[in-house]
Amino acid sequence: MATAVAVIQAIALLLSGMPASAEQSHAFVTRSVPLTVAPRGAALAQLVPSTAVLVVQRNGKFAEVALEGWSTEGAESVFFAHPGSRVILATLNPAGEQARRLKESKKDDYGTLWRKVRLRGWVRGDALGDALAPLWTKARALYQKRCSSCHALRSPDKFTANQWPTILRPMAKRAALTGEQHALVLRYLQAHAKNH
Amino acid sequence: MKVSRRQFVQSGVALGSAAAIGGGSAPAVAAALAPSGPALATRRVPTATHWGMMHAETEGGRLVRITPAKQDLFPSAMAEALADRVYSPTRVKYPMVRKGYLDKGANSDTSERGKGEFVRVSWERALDLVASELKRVKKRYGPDSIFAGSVDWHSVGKLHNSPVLLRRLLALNGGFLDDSGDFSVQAAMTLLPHIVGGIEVYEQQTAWSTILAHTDLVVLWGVDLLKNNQIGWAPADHFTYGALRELKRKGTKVVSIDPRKTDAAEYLGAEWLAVRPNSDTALMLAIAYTLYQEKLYDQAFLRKYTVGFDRFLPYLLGKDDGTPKTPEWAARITEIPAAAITKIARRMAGGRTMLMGGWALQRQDHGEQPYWMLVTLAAMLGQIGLPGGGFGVGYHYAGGGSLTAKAPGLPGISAPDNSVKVAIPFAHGLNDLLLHPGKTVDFNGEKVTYPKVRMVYWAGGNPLSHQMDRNLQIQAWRKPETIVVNEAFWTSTARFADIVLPVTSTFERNDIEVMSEDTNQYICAMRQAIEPLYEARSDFAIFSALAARLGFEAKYTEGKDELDWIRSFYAEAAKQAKGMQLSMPAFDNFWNGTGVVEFPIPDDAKDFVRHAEFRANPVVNALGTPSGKIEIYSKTIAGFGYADCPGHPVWLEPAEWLGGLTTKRYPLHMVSPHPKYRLHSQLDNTWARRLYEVGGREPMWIHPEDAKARGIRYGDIVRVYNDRGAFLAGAVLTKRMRRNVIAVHEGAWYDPDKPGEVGALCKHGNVNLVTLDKGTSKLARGNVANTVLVDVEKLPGRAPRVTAFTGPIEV
Repeated sequence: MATAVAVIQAIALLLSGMPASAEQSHAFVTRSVPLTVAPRGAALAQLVPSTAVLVVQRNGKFAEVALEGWSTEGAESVFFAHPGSRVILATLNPAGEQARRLKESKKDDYGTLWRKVRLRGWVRGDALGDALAPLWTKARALYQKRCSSCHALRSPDKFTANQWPTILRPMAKRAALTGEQHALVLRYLQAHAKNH
Repeated sequence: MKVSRRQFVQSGVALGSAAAIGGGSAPAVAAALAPSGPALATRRVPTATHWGMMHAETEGGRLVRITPAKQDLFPSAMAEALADRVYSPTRVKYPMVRKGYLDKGANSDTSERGKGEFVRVSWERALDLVASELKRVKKRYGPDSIFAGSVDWHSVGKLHNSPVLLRRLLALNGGFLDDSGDFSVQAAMTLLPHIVGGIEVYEQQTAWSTILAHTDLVVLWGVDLLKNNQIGWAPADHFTYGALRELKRKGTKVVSIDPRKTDAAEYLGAEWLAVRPNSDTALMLAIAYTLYQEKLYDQAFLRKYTVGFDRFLPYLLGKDDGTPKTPEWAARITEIPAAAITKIARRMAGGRTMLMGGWALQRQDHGEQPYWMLVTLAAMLGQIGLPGGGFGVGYHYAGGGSLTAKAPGLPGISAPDNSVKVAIPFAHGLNDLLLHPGKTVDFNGEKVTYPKVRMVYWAGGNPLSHQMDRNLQIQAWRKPETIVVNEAFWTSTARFADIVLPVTSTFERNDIEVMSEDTNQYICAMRQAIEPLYEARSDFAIFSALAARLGFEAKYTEGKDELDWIRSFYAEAAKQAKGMQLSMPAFDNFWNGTGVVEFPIPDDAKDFVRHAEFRANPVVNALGTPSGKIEIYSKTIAGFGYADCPGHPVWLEPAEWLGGLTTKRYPLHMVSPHPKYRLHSQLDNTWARRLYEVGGREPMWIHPEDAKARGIRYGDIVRVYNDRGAFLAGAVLTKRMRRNVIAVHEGAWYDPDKPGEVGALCKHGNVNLVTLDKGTSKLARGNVANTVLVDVEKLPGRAPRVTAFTGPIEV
């Protein structure tokens, strides 16, 4: 289960008709970073740490990337990892919503309609890494240090990926997590959570 | 403070004395008559406790007074007793070892535990003994044979957090058996993530300002906002008291559903529904039934924000079981008249209603059900996410509903990775664990298998006071080979230990804290006021010394001493503050100055409404449940197949209650709320207990008719008993109790007439002689403290002396 979501995401990118060519490669976002319409251009979205992307090309300090996720009707501004998921990959502004490409639909177990969506844009190259393991190591150390100072550390698989955002939120201030640390720890917990 | 010449000369006494002495210059006279400086030198340092921010005042090196900080608008008077506690005769002075353990070690006769014969040893010897035991047990039996999990109240402070410091030591030592829950809210924290995606109990509540502005009806369900807001896990700011004063002034209607008329109900002039204990779910179901039948429920809310109402409705209407959950049905169960049930349902639906649930509701058999049904009821009313509406289960705790500041977080000492992955549900399981090694139990959809525990190490808590069924526990406590306890006082936990290490109180060391838990408005210095008493050392010093013997001192201390650690926490907060455009003084200015940093409250803090985001956009802000909505029916829970916690809220009869068959033998139901003048068992060993004790015992509230039937009068010492055990209490006759229910506050020090023996009578009033050691259900395994049947008799003859507040027998 360790990095299942992100790996599935990367494979999905590969199989969905966005294969990596000789110059293209898969990568992971290593910190919260804006996705822009061009290098140093207007913002389209904010990408969450650990989100998998396909690197289409590089240009100096920037990289053009493509990412894929699922959105529901009424939440077009959010890319979730898969139907029924509360794992947020990216949040889009109105320009980002406009720039999305819509793919197939699917209903989840509760009858909610989800749509696969894709978005392309540019990010700073130094916000990308080629492996998740170092990110999880960093997140785990931070989680260990901050979240054991009042009670026994809760194992990530104690809650589901969908429960973790609300479980973590009241704890973040008690654990003295900054916004960025909160985002990283949350994704770590979700990536190692209980299946449901 | 030295008397100045001017003060002395100005005082009438001085003039009189000078005249009596007859002659000599005023300064010479002043010098001759002024008291010696150092002996009466006074100091005042900032500090903090669970009761809030305060000052410790010393005279000549002795702690004489605790006074509240000016930031505390409604200080808790009992905190003054903290000064007395430091010098209590119950203070653990030196390292002590149980005589039989010193002689025979791991092969000692463990039935001698609790008998209190201890031998004083040097620190060197004590530490060598503990370290060698940790090595031996780990090597021979494995790390999971050492149990050191606890969530107890210790003292505030980001460094001297005893349970965490213990975890830090044992994790570095190769692992230990930990717990996975919380004695306070096990049922709630296990159930609610399935229902609403989060735990609710430790989250900031809808702001009081919105309740004052919008709420027409406040329903207090099993909760006393006045009694319980005195303390907090982090120092309490007592915000709630101002809010309650405003609520009373405004005249908002309040209803209190409780077997007892609480302090809050009295103060607010609440209407009191004297419900039968443990019948709350039935009452909620009948209210729901009324809302449904009279079409007073919010169908649109249910459709948009919940799932599963259609699967719960047949149960509500009696389509499955032939029993519609009508007010008449509930009246027989709850002893609330059907007409009153219908009326309260209509009142709830007739305006903006805030349902405030207490934690007592879920500390009863099937405690998951009242919380599930409370959320369902709130969903049917359709006001979740509206200002002053919906439900809240944290108003009685640490000032829930207060104003959250814009502030950095303050980190604390941590515990590294624990190699042992199995964890014991702490709320019900400690006796079970010790008595039934190898047993596999269900817990929240998984199986937990108990390891065999050979060693117990406890720091910062009192399990021999708070755990249920003391006589069962004494048997359980005989199972481990070695029990080590770090303690400042000779609590019953210390008396039942093999090795007791004396620790310092808050005032004998330095630390740092945040006030309060929900607001983060202040960072406060906790400066050492006096030197450690006797041979007491801080947990940090004790565990560092053990770490040295175990070969990892550098990892334990990270080369930092007490103040280094405190500076490091402050520095981390300052770094965050900078990123938030907030300024904090340099550490030394903070530490040596006022000892307080204050952060601003944003204007919109008063508008905070729980679940407002969800209500505004349930898609973007979907809940962390599988459906994203409130789950009145949970597929996940249904899938576990637990008969005692099925897929939607249900009425399940408790194991023992006034409506059940066992009532003939034990016709009274005992509830044991959190105390009014203590923090659990803390402060019982001070003069504070003289404020409330009756006949030197913990008070027992009883209705005058129930007392009369037993020939009991006010002030009589009574025996409270059932098949599990007995304790003495002092009778208080009051119509604030409903018939057939008694109330005794938990936490009175256990005082057995035959120390160490199973079946001993507690002479002083510890409730856990009669409580039931059972889990709420297979889902949460919460404790069922409030599910107890007893009888009460006047104690014939003279009551035995209370001897709990002394030291051990030293041999």
